[in-house]
Amino acid sequence: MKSSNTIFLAAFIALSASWAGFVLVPQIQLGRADQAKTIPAEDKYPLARAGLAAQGAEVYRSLGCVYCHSQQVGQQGVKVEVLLLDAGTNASSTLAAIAKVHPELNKPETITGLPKEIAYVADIAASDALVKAVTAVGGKVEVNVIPTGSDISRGWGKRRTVAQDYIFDHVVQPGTRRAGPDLANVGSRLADLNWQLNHLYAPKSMVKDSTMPAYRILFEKRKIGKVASADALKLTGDSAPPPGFEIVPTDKARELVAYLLSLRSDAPLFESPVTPPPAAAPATNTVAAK
Amino acid sequence: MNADPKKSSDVTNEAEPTAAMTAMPVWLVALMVTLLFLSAWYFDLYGGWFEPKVFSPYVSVADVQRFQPKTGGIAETVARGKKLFSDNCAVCHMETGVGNPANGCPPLVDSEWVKSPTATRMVMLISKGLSGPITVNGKVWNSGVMLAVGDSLPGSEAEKAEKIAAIATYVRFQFGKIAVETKPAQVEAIRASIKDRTANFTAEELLKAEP
Repeated sequence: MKSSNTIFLAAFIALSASWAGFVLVPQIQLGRADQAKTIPAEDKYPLARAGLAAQGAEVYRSLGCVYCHSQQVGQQGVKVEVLLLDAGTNASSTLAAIAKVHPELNKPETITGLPKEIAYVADIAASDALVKAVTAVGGKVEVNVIPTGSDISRGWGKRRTVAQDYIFDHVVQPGTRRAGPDLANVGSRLADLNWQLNHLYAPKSMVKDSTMPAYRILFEKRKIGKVASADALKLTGDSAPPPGFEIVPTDKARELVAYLLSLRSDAPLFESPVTPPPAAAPATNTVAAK
Repeated sequence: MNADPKKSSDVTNEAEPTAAMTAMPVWLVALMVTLLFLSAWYFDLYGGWFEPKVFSPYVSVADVQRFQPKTGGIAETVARGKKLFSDNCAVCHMETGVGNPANGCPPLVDSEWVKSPTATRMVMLISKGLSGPITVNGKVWNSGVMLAVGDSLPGSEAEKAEKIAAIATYVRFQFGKIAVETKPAQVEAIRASIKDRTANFTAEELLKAEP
């Protein structure tokens, strides 16, 4: 083995190069990431999960939800929408200003029934000329930045997910497979506690063609005592329990749902601008309040 | 085994493998240099130069910056309204708008009063305060009195109107999920119509002004 030193050196360089690329550089980039401020409301984002939701993250992990559900929204591009809010006092000169940039909009309908979209373009520079021309003659416009992509058109989120969304996840579970829908924004998409509980107990009763297994292990089927439980699921059809019985969620079901409802990656951040900003998160935690 | 004698002799005639150094073919060097050049070029175009704030489809910080919400318009008003809300309203309504039952202060989150179609009654309410019973989200609140916070804001009438407009915009945006800016001119008009009033409003009067 006269070239053993060379082989060792080559292997060392190859391994340290990949370590530097996959561990060291990301650590330098994002290792000290902290709460950021949302735009424009300047709320702190993200907030650490507390109580039930923090325990629910462990339930999510132990049940292996990550094998079928991702928590990452992709984004292919970005579009800029220009809305005409007000044609100003001299509507005809506003129309002329619009027509100079977009000749096909030179018709009276353009400035009636406001607010109306007058441009939907791929680059913000392309909208600037129009905005400048319209505001110069007294018209008012609003410029909206709209992320686009297949995940966003499926309704899985308003913007792409970024590193900031995960900084308080102790086991980051972005997922690798999408047998089920993405859950990065499930807390804002399906914010109904009872819907979530019923769906965990009997997925097909809520989503007709669902392929999700029923997580009945999270629920307790018991005889109705003197008084029926107020927490019992309201079930109909095939999934309803036999007469005299009721289905009650266990602590684990409550924790898991609290976690699901806490999944909201839609705060507008610097690195992923979106306007108009999605509605603010509900301030009350319906699950904890129960 | 009917091995072809001619073929087997070909095999034996092949040169023995050697372990000596040989020069790398020129085409391989050229290919590697080309690939390195192309990958560096691609990285420069789309890589974002290891900036942690740059994610695809953006390619540089300047690119992300161009797509930020423009100052002015609702974004700026909401940010200013948030600060004014913290200073003037949050002591009772809380920063999160959940209200405080201990001092009879109703919630703002998803309240039908916040979600009214225009900001008229909200501006009246902030300007002159409120006393008497008020029903919020199906619950009657009767133990608290809201002071005339709007009238007691510092500054001239125009400055007060501007501040009330920012607070109303923020409250409607944050707690009512209504992204409509309330304009200072609108507030001044409403306040001019109620300027001689000194008593607090009641819930019925507000509902009469804006059903």
